[in-house]
Amino acid sequence: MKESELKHFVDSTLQYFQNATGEAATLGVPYIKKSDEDVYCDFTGIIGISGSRRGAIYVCCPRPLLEQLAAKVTGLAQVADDAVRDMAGELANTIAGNATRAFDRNFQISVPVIVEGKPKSISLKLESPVYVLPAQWKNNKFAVIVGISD
Amino acid sequence: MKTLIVDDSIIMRTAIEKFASELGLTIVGKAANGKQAVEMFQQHMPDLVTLDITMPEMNGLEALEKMLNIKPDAKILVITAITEKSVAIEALKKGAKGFLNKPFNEESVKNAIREVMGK
Repeated sequence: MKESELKHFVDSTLQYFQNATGEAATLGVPYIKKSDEDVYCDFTGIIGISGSRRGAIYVCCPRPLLEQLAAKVTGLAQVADDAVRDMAGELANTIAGNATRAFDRNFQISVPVIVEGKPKSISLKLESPVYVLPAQWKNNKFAVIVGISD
Repeated sequence: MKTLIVDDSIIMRTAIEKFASELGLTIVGKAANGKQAVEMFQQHMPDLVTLDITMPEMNGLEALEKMLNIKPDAKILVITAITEKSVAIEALKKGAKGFLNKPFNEESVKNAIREVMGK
């Protein structure tokens, strides 16, 4: 993926938090992930890309972020555990889905796969170069990881 | 107005149910994929459906066609994260009465439902 295309994922990440919660997220400086670098988090929402491009988008989140976000989106004071897990998938789905406007009709996104803990043996592979967008919403750090072919 | 909510996300179904109920709509079912949605549609014959597109088993566009074949005057509001324009055009051509992009908030969902109900 061209570096210039990363902008679409930056925009959709920022737009998500602003529109869904009314509270902006902030982004750090994006970088290219080293092949041996692990990114740890409680839950990862993964979207596979197929059609005109190949690859995946990972959104790697701590549990408190998902709990607070789920409460904000539903308007409920407390949300069940399965809903917190589901929030990781929906966040990844929306960030990927919103970025589709910048690609062609054959840029296809999958339904989300949700992984708890460190992602292992996942069939939805990131294509190099893999970009990491470090971000923060409230006091919660998270990362959007994008690896899509040209 | 009988309403069916279709989305593979629990969070989205919960949020839409809350906002639709506050508008006085009667939720007759919640489906997590297109196949289940068509089955529930046949069973409950709802007047309004909120419909996601990217779902397992059967996607929303396919479910949309099947539901409108069963009840052509059903009002269908597509609610999806996909912002690629041709998807919205295809949904409206197939008979959807409205299209709302995620992420949504309470106000945007309620406005979109009101608009579709008025058509």
